[in-house]
Amino acid sequence: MKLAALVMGLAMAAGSVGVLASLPQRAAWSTAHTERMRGTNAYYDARETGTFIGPLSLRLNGEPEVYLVIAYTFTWRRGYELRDPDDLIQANRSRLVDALLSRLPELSAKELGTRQGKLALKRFLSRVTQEQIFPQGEGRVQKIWLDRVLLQPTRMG
Amino acid sequence: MKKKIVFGSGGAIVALCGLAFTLVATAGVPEPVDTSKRGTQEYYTSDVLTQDLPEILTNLRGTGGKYIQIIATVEYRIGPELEPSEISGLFSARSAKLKDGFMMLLSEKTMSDVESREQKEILKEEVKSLIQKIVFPDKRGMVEAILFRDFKVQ
Repeated sequence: MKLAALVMGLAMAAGSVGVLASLPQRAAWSTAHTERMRGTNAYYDARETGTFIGPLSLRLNGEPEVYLVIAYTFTWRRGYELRDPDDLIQANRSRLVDALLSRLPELSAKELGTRQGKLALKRFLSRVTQEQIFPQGEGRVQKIWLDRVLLQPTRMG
Repeated sequence: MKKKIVFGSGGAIVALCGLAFTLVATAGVPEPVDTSKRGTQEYYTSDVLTQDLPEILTNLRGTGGKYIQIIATVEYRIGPELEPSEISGLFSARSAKLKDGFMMLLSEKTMSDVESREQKEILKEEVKSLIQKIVFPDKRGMVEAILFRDFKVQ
């Protein structure tokens, strides 16, 4: 009888450990805590997701005969309060494309052809993507991976 | 007498449970891998695997509208720590990062940097190092060679 009670006790203890281990790592935040955390690194999920943009084709202002084809992936981290990131990205994607088509022509083809120029382009894309896709800081843009940056004398497709 | 029987059978059950737990816990556990050998030739399997790389298409420095297009395959070997299920995703999961890396690498190249046979060999070595750094930063696999399948400057 005692043995049966002991075995049952051990089984229940093991079950409790299993249940505790399977609980979400982060408990729900209070409103005040959420306010405090907003914008901090801990506010954003550690996992990064990638979203592809492009390809966009446009003419550069300074060089009438030079066209730029650009495509990139931005990685982002979801903010604590963002429930449906795919919907938000889909809704703001057209704003991003519009901003890129307006602002990219100001860049210089000569600069875009160098490594330094591409690094500057990444910073530019990161800033514009953050502003347009997550205007309220709902998510945080982490990295820009260039997929295509091609300068050519004639428009492609 | 009754107490002895209870304690005796209890001890036997505990011993049997311990033995059973040990057998279950150690069943199917692979031999520990010597991770200090990562990066040495003997650490990796002798089978050479191949993977087509994403197309590389970008401008060369100072060439105006000219661009370079490279299609290549990478040969690599894997170590015992990589599960077969991990292999297929090794490159596809890092495709965006690889493309970005190729583009940044080629942005520093001029036409004369990619024309001669020697320069192409140097470029292969650079691409090889880049892939090693991106796909196997922990040296659980080793990039053996880069094989160009198409190489155009237009």
